[in-house]
Amino acid sequence: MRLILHLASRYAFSKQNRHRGTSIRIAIGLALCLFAIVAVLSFMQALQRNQFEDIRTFESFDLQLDLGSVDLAAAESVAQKIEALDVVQNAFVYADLPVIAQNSEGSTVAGRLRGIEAEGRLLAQLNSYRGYLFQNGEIASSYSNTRSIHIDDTATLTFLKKGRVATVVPSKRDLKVGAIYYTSSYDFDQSTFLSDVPTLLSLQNDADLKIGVFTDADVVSVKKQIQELGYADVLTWMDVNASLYSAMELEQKMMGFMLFLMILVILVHIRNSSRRLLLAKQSEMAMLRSIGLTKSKVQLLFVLQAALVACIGCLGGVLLSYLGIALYPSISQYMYQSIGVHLILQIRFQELLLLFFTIVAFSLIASFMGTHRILKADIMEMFAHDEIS
Amino acid sequence: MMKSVDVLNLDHVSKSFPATGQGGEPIQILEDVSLSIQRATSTAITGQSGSGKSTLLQISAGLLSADTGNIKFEGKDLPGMNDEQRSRLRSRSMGFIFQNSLLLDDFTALENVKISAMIAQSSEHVALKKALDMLKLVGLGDRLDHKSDQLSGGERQRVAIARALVNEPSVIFADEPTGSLDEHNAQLVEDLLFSLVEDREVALMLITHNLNFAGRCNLIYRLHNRHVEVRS
Repeated sequence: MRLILHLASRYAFSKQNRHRGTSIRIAIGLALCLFAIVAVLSFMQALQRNQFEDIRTFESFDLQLDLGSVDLAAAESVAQKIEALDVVQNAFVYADLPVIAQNSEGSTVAGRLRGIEAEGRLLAQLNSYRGYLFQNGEIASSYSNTRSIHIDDTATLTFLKKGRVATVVPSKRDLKVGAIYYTSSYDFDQSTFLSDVPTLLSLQNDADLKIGVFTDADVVSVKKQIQELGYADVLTWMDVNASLYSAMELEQKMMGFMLFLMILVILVHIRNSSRRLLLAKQSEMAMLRSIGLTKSKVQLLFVLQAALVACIGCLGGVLLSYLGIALYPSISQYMYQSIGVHLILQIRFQELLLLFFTIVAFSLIASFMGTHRILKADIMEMFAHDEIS
Repeated sequence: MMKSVDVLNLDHVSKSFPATGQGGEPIQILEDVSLSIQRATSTAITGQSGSGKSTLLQISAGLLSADTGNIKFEGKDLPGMNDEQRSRLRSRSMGFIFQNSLLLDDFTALENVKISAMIAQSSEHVALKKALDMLKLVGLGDRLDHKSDQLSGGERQRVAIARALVNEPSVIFADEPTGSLDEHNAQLVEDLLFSLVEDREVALMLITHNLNFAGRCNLIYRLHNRHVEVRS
């Protein structure tokens, strides 16, 4: 075995090896392919994570529960009950009211007023640019609307109320803009004015109250637990954003398909280079057989050689990947200029491990099959032909 | 003098190769060939180019399979052996010298010989000693660390001889060992081979065109029209 290991390492990367250059090129090819897959995977996952993160933090939360009630005290009690679940981090009351806001100069912004008891992730990522958020009787407008709505302005909010004769009637109310906020979600900022829940209820006292929930656990299982508490009308962020989510799922499937194609290209590369390397060694195999090395040992020798080249190539790919991720923050501003979002890249270790072993395993299989094919011939045929087919 | 014992027996061996073109008849190379090789004797196989001399040697050594016939090596049925048994035989009882002195190009002269000894289960230390001794015997004590492309044709052939002998085989199969050498080097290799037959009592099966070289052998077979005939 020691002899086989020695020969395998000599055949793979030794300075004295005539085919050292081929081995190095194969290893570099594998390293670059692995790096390319990891880079694409990390970017795509980061993009999706970024999009979903904003939705889950500001827009629909991880889960939401429509109480169908206007009783704030009862809603707060339900929120406390849900928050008592181990898997729930935060549960809070909120309500939305569609409004058109107009400043004293007549500029208008159409959107919604969200009355909310901001907690958890939402509060952590809600930034006050000027003023104080959630002051009773005041609203907060977003930084992206500052051209129309300024701090300390009195905004006239127009909204629909239930009427006595007509189903709904327009209603107006003046509220002071007490703060300017911003978040990382441009869409949310453009369309949302914020207030506390009592301020929203003072505009429309029959607004539907809802409970927002933040969790790190699987939302489907949390939904089940909340339903077991007796609240049937629970929606996950995937239910609420069904069309977006299915588009993302489609994108993910396409991404999976693209990665599959990339892996296929790598596997073809491995197969071809393994074949090239083995064919270059065909007469050496014949020589080793003629001086008494058994077929199985010759096969083991070249499988080990392939394993060595593949492992070194893959390790190079892993190093490149981690190096790329580590260096990314220093070039992220250029990415921000081109794609408009700050991405946090991560490598999922399990996926990397799977890729690593897939490539190494395929290298072993390709080498095993290649040597098996060559060794089927008589020794003299191996000497005589460039390629055994 | 040691009693002559058959180390190799070929009995009614035939071999054909498929035709290169489509639908052509197979090319019959050997037909009903029988011969035997004894220990401590040298046997030459002569014949015209393309008469099947190399094929006969390769079949005798188990490097190529015959279509029909029996081949016994040291009394054992060679084609009936499995790969492991045949490999063991090749490493311990057979030595090969090819016309083009096929060496492992990635390795030095010393390593070429040492690897052969290690394949025959010698420990690294013993293999190194054997390889050193053998290379000195063939006059290459000062070329140990030279790789194939740093050696002359005659030196490469002598490395091949050292490698063929390192495991003290009972038969050396030599296919045109001087075919690509100049006169001086050819003489050196010839002398070396015959001294080994005498000193080490190995059997030599030699393929050659050179009648003078063949004439130094104890027995000469001539291949003609796919059949073998004893010339002397």
